[in-house]
Parts: sequence; structure tokens; C-alpha cells
Amino acid sequence: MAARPPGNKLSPILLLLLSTVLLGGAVSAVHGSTAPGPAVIPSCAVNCLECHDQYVHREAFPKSVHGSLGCLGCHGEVIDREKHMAGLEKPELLSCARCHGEIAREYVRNYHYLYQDFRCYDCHRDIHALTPPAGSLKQEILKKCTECHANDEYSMSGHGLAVLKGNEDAATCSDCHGLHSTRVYHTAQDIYPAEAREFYSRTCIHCHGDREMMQRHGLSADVVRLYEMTYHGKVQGVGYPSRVAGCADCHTSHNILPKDNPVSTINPANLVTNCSKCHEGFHPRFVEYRAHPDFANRRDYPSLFWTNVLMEVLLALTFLFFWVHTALWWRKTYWDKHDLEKRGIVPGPPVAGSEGIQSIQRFPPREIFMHVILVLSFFTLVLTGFPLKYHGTGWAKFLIRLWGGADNAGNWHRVAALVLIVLFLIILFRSLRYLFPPGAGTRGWKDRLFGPESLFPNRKDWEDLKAMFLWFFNRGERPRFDRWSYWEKFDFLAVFWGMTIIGGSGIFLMVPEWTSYLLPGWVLNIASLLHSEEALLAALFIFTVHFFNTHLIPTKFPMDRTIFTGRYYLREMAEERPLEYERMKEEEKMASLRRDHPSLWTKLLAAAFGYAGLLLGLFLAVLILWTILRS
Amino acid sequence: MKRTAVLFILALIVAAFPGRAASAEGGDIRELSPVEVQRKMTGGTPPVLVNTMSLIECRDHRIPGSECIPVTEMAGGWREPGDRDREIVFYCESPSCRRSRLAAETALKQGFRNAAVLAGGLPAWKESGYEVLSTKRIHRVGIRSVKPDVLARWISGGGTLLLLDIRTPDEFKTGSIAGSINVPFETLQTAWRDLPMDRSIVVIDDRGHRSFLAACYLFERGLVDISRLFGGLSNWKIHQSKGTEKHGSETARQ
Repeated sequence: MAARPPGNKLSPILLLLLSTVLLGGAVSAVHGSTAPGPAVIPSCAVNCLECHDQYVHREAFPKSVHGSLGCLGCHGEVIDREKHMAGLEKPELLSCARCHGEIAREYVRNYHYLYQDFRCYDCHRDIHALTPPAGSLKQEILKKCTECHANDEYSMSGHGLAVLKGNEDAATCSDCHGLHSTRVYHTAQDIYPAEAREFYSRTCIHCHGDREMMQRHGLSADVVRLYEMTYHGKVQGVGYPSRVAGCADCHTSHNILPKDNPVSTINPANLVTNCSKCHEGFHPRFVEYRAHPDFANRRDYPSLFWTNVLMEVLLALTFLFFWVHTALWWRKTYWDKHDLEKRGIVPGPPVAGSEGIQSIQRFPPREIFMHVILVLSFFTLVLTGFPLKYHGTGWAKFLIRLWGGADNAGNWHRVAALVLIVLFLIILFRSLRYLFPPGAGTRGWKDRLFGPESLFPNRKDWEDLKAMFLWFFNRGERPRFDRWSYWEKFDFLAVFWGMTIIGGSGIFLMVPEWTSYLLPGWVLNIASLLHSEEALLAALFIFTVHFFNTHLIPTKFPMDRTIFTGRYYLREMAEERPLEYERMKEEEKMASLRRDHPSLWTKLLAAAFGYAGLLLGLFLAVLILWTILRS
Repeated sequence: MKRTAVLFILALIVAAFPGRAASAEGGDIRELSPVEVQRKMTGGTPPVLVNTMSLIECRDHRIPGSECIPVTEMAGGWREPGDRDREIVFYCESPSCRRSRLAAETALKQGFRNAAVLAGGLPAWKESGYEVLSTKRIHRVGIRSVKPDVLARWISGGGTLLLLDIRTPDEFKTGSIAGSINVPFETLQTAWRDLPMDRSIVVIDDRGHRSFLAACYLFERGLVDISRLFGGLSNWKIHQSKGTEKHGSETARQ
């Protein structure tokens, strides 16, 4: 006998119920029967019951959900009665899929069919006497599944107890595993952890993300949203669940109990064991990490709440100030440039004054190299980190796929972070060496710290800032800058702040288990928040404020190549940094700064690298801002 | 120190580009998809299709047109096709089962030049919507599915428990649950008569895909106090290595 694939025999309980309403009505119309009753078995009432006159056929079947179908609804017709009685002719068993096609399509991927070759009648054994369940369908399903898969833990869990009490929202077996679509996620084997984890997490989220249902039962309606804001949730959300904890990894699949229950896996006494399933080598205080905290909840998570407030205020103030500053600066420069053009005034020749020098050095090769490395590592960090921050977006998933998956992206993120940390340490070393040069000891360090070559802010910067705002509004002259303007100093010092916050929190997050030997686990929650928000601050600041101040301001637009060629016109120095120009002249250093005009290849290379970075950064800024505005 | 740092960074870079690992076992055995096998079976020269599982399983359900040749019988000389160039396609009960690959390797060693395996095994065939054939179907019943921690409790409780390991003798030699006896599935159609009727039997296989049918077969023969190890010995090993906390218990009930 060639057995046909799924659905070819008897129907599931659920559809059988529906069939009483839909199918039963339709088929009874075909057979010209009314509602099933004990008196009539259509089509074969006369012939079949002459021999098959057992109670189940005569009394139970007509009352069953399939009663209106009659014998020929499921069995083929007998052609030769004598042969049939002699056992030589067996009527064909018709496929259940003829009526239950949708279930048949689902069942073709069912674990029990694929691996154990279960047919419809293997579960629906009482098919001839099948009637709608008297009680809860969820309870009927539980009863059927537990014929093989009895599970004490489930029965004692919140879900199990609620189902047994008749709660129609609580998860019975089929709500998580599917009824006829039970997937081939044999969780005892680690051969498809990603698919299984994603499948089951999605199943949990289906109910626990349903705000109305959760509120109906007094449960948190935000737990899914909050989980998706954690590292575990972000990696899972961007499409790579294989390496991070899904719902069942911490809560288990069946032993799901409130945390105050002593046998719950999330009971504080069991957390070390629970976390050890994935993490190893940590201090017990590691488990003080909160799996999905609500940082808007000041009462339960005060440290997170205030960290979040701090970061939001920091971001708001920083961007408020600098975006206004940039906008005013742009207006002033554009208006002035337009005024000059209108009057037909063109910029002076590139050779400045009496020196006869065209190009001079602003940045030595070492600083150019460091900036290039900085750019590369920064973009790597943004392109690998932000997809996690905005894991729900299509562009985030696209970027992660480009990196070859979350694992690869994570490795690149860490490599780039280490490069940036090394760069930061070099800058720190050079700054200290500038302040305390070999042989000079601490003598004169204050003069150097606040001197014209220093990137540390001084009183003049404050005066320049005020003068700049007056200039924006045509109330004064443009400030006379020395080697470093106040906004350049801010850029530089922001690196110190940023590296401390992002780098420090990043190191904690890179080795969370080791961190637990220094700090409690809840610090990782703070580190995660700081890392994410500070990264947003850094990326948006660079891609908007720094890019505009340096490249997109009308006097530099579309790009200032100085940082990549290391040279600019002496005229530019005289105009933009008159105090440095005068100082160089006075100290007779001008000749030593003189450089040839950059070669064609240097300019092309600088332009290619610079424009690529500029365009990529602006594109990322648009993506980030668009994502923020849409959320 | 500098060298260490460089090596560390290099190691991270290398880790970011995981190379394609070479297949550890039988990487040169050709795989055919269910669609390819179906096309060949309806073509001019159909391949010899071989079900490498036990006779009990093969008779229960198999791909139409396939022969039942348990892999354990291949080494001792099987009714092999005369043409050494004739294509032979082997299959077994799951994507992770090794029987079909072992059979194909044996066939290659025996001089057959055109051996292949069905990718994904019998489940892939069924998932593609193709038919299977039953000649002696075993009646399915509710068989208790016991998780490793429950079985461990049962074992420590003593009693009349009989641990019946249905893997091959070679697999049994690689490790088994203490106290279990080895009755390979391939011999069960005769060996079942020697099993005691008065003991609680737990059927153990490799990964949990075969023990259900074996248990149903024994149930049909009157051995009604029977259950099976959920996830097979591989699940037992995970339980042993990670402890009971990872896998919840599933107690027995019929």
C-alpha cells in the first residue's frame, strides 16, 4: 500500500470541531443529509451496517462530527460485495486532506510525521466516535500530548496550572510547539540551535508582546520591548539568535515559574546555575545583571533611570548647542560669501604676503596617519555597532549580513575598538610628553597646558566663543584664532570623554565575566546604556557637527583636504589663524613649515578617501536620524 | 609584549574570517536531493535505492522502489547489483544519521563507482511531498518519553528497569549507559523473544528518532511496560556533562 503524505487519514481535533459547522454543513448538502443523528447513516446506511453493526458504527458514528459524511465520506465504495466479504477487496481509505487540506499542508513539516511517520489516525484513534470536546480544547490537547510527553514541570508551571484551571489565554502544548505544524526542533540536539531559539522566542513574544492579553492577566506588557533593548535581544533581533540567550534559555521551556518560587530558574538562588549554562568563569555577583530592566522605572532601577536621564540631557544639550552653532555659522559664512560674490570680489592669490610661500604644513605625516587609522576604526565601530542598536531596521540586518553575521561583526567591532584604544593611549602619551618633556620635569607645564600650541581650553577660548556668536549676528569681528580654535579643542577633548565612557564600558561588555570580579552585574546594564548612548552622541556629532565645521561650511565645501595632505595655503593660515601666523613669523618658523604643493596623486588619494568617508558618514547620519524619528 | 599584542590582533582578524572547515567524515560522498532522486527514479535508468535501516523500520515505511538492506548486513555480502557502474543511492532515518554514509563508503570500498546518499534522509523525502510505502506497518501507541534526569532517578532507584540499547554493536562500544544491554534494532525481530516480560523496559537509541518505533514494535508483541529515552544517548551525554539543570524532566505516564 502506497501511503500518501500527511493529512491523508483522519482529521485533527481542532478542525473536526470546525467541521461540524463548516464542513459538516457543506458535505451534508452534498449528501442531502441533515444534522447527524442516530437514525440515518447516509450513503451506506443500508449496506455497511448489515455487517459492520458494532455499537461504534451504529450508535456512536452518526453522532460524531463526521456522522453526516457517511461511510463513503472516508472509505471508497465496495464494488463486489462477495469479494469484500471474503477479504479480497478492501475499500480505499480516502485522504483526510480532501477536506482538511490546510492541515495537510502544515503537517508535511510536522516532526511526528517526518521522523515517526505518524498518520492522522495515530492521534485521532477514536475517529468513528469523535465528538467536540466537552470542556476546554486546550485541556484536550494537553491530554493528547501527554499520552507520550507527560511533563510534570509544565503541569506545575504557570502555563500548565492556568490551562488546567480553564484559562483560555494560557499556553498549552500546541501554542508553543504547534498542533499540526510541530516543527523539527528536537531541542535535545544542538544541531539547529539558531532556528529553534528563534522559533520559540517568537512563540513567547507572540503572547507576551500582546499588551492587551498581558494586562488581562496582570503581567508586564513591556517585557518583550525591554528584552529587545538588551544585548541578548538586539543580537537576536538583528537575525542571529544562535549565540545569545532567548526566552527559554533563562526561563526554560516548561519550568516557567515566577522568580519568587524556589524552583524557578530565575529565582535568585538559582541564577548562578542558570547563567552558567552560557557564561563561565564569573564571580557570583555577575548574576546581579538585570535581564530586561526598565530604565524608565525610577523606583526599581534608580541607577539605570538616572544614567538614562544623564545621557539624554547630555545628548540634548550637546546637539542643541552645536547644531545651533553650526547653523548660525553656516548662515553667516554663506551670507558673507554671497555678498563678496555679488560685489565681484574674488579670494586673493594663494601666495601670502611677502613670504613667497604657497603651502605650509599643518599636520605632520604621523598625525595624518593617526587620523586615517582613527577614521577607519571609527567607521568600523559604527558600521558594526549601530546595526545592533537599531536591530529592527532593514538596513541593520543588511549591514550585519555584509559583515558575514553578528559573530563576525562583533569580532570586527572588538578589533576596531582595540585599535582605537591603542590610538587613544598614544595620544595620551604624547599629550603627557608635551606637558612634561624629557629633561624639563614639571617646569613650565602650566604655561604649556594653557599655551597657544595646547589643545586644552583656556580663557581666550571662552572669549572667542562669545565673539564668534556676536560675529554670527554681525555684532563684531570674527575672533582671531591661534593654532587651535575652541571647537577643535572640543573635538579633541571629546575624544578623551568619549573614550573613557565608550571604551571603558566597551571593555566591561567585552569581558563581562571578568568584570564581575571588579563590579556587580548591574554595572553591565549601566555600561550597556552608556555605551549605546555615548556611541550615538559620538557618531552623530562627527557626522553632523564635525563634518559641517570642517568640510561643509561654505568656505571649505565640499571638503577640506588638509587633514589628509597635511598642508594648506599660507593665505588660509593668515586668514583663519592670524595669531598663529603672526607667531610663526615672529618666531621665524615660517621657513621650516614651508612645503611643496601636494602631488597630484596625494590630492587624488586624499579626495577619494575623504569623499568616501564624508558621504558614508552623512548617509549613516541620515539613516540614524531617520530611524530615531520613525521610532 | 608588542609581539603578543600583534599576535592577539592577528588572531582576532583570523577569527573574524572563519574558513570553510573541511568535512570531517566522508566529504567525498555525493549527495542527491529528494527532487534529484525522484527524477532519477522515474527516468530511464533508475538507481538502486537502498534503505539502510533495520528491516522493521524499512517494512514500516520506505521510499517506494527501495530495497531493505540494513547497513550492518552490507559488509557480510549483500545482494548487490552486478553492474559496478550502476548508481546506488543510500538513505536512513534523519539528516544526522550516519548509516547511509557508512553504507555508501562500504559500497565504494566494494568497488562500486557510483554511490551516493539522499541528502536529509527520509524526512527530507517526506518533506518534499513524496510518498512512502508501508508493507508491514507497526501500530503507533502512546509510548512514555523519559528525559535523562528522570531516567537517572529511575536508575538510582533500582527496581526492575531494563535499559535496552538498540544501537549497533560498534556504536554501543563507543559508550553506553551503565547496566544497559545491547540489542541492535536490526536484530530485534528475533531477539525480542528473549526479552523479559516482567521488567520495565527503556529503549535507548542514538538521537531519539528510532526508539519510538522500536518501542511500538515491542508493545505490539506484548511488552507493554515500555518507555523510551527522549533524545537518545546524545541527550543523555549532554545531561551528564551539563548537569540536570539544563534539561527539564519529563516524567513517565502512559
